[in-house]
Amino acid sequence: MKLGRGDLSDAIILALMSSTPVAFMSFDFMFPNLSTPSLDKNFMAMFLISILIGIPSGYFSKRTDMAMLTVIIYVAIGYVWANVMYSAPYLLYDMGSVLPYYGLFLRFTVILLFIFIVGGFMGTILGQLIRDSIRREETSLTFPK
Amino acid sequence: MTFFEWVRRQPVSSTLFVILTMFFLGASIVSASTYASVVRAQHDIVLENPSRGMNVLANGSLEFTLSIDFVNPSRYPLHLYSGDWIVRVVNDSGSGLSYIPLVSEYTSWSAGITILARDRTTFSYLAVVSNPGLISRVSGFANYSMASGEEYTLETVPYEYNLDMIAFLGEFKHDYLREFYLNDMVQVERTYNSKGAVP
Repeated sequence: MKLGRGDLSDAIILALMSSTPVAFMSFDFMFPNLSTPSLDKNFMAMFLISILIGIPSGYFSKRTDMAMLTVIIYVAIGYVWANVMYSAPYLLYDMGSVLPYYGLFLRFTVILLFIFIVGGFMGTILGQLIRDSIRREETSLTFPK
Repeated sequence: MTFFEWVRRQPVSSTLFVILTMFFLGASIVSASTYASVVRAQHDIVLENPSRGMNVLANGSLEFTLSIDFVNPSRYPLHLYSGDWIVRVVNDSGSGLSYIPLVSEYTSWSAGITILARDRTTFSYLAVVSNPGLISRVSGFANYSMASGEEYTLETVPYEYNLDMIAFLGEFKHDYLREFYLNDMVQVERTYNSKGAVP
C-alpha cells in the first residue's frame, strides 16, 4: 500500500503531540529531584505511561504500519527535546561546559528508548482495539437489530 | 480518515489526547525552568566582602575575627548544611609542611540556619585562643622564622583563615545514595581562603 499525504501529515501531527511525554520522562529520569511532577526513576510507571501515549497513535491512525512508525518518530523527537532541555541553561552561559556531560545523559537515558518504543507499540495495539470497539458500538447503534 | 476528521468526529478522545499532551508539555517547561534556575543559582551564589582581624589581648590571648557575606540572589532559600571555620599557621619553612591549628569552629545543619532567597546573610565569627601551649608554638614559629630573615610578631604571623560552607538549595531532595550527581546539583559549596582569591 502506498503512503498518502494524509498518512504522513497525520503521523507528524501525532508524533509532535505524543513527543512531550517522552521528552519529560527522559529529562525526569536524569533529574528526578528537579522535575515536577517526578516519576522518581520508576520504570513501571514509565512503561505504563509509554503504553498510554502509544494509544493515540493506534486510535487515530488507520494503518498499523503508520501507527508503529509514528511511535518511532515521536520517541525520536521526544528524545531530541529532552537533549535540548538538558542543555537549556547552558545556552545562557557556555554551551561548551555541558558538552562533556552529554555522554552521561545518553548513558543514563538510552535504555528508556526501548521502554518507550515497546510500550508505544503495545499502546498502538490497545488504541486500535479501543477504536474498533467504538466503531462496532457505533455500527450497532446506527443499525439496531 | 485523517486526524482532523477524527477530531471532529471524536471530540472527547481528541480532547483527552490534547490534555495529555499539554500536561506533559507544561511539566517539561516547569522542569526545564527549575533546572535553569538551579544552574544559574550555582553560578550566582558567592561569598563576598571578607573581613578578617587578629588582636593580641591584654592577657596575652589571641583574638581572631572573620566576617563574610553569603550572597544568595537565587529564588531558592539556602539551608546551611555545614560551616567550617579554621585559623592556623602554616609552617612551610622546613623540609615538610606542618600546621599549628589555632581555631576550629563548626556549624552543623542542626543550627537551622537559612539564607533567604534574594538576600545576603553576614556571618561573623570570633574566637579567642588562650591556650598557653598553642600561643607558645606560634611564638616559637615567629622566633624560628627570624633565622630565615622574617621579622614576625604575634600580630604579623601569616595566619591562614579558611571557611568552607555547604548549603542545599530550596527543598530539593538531596539524599540519594547512588546518584550523587543529583545531590551535587542542589548542593552549594563555597570556600574562602585568606591566601587565595574569594571564589
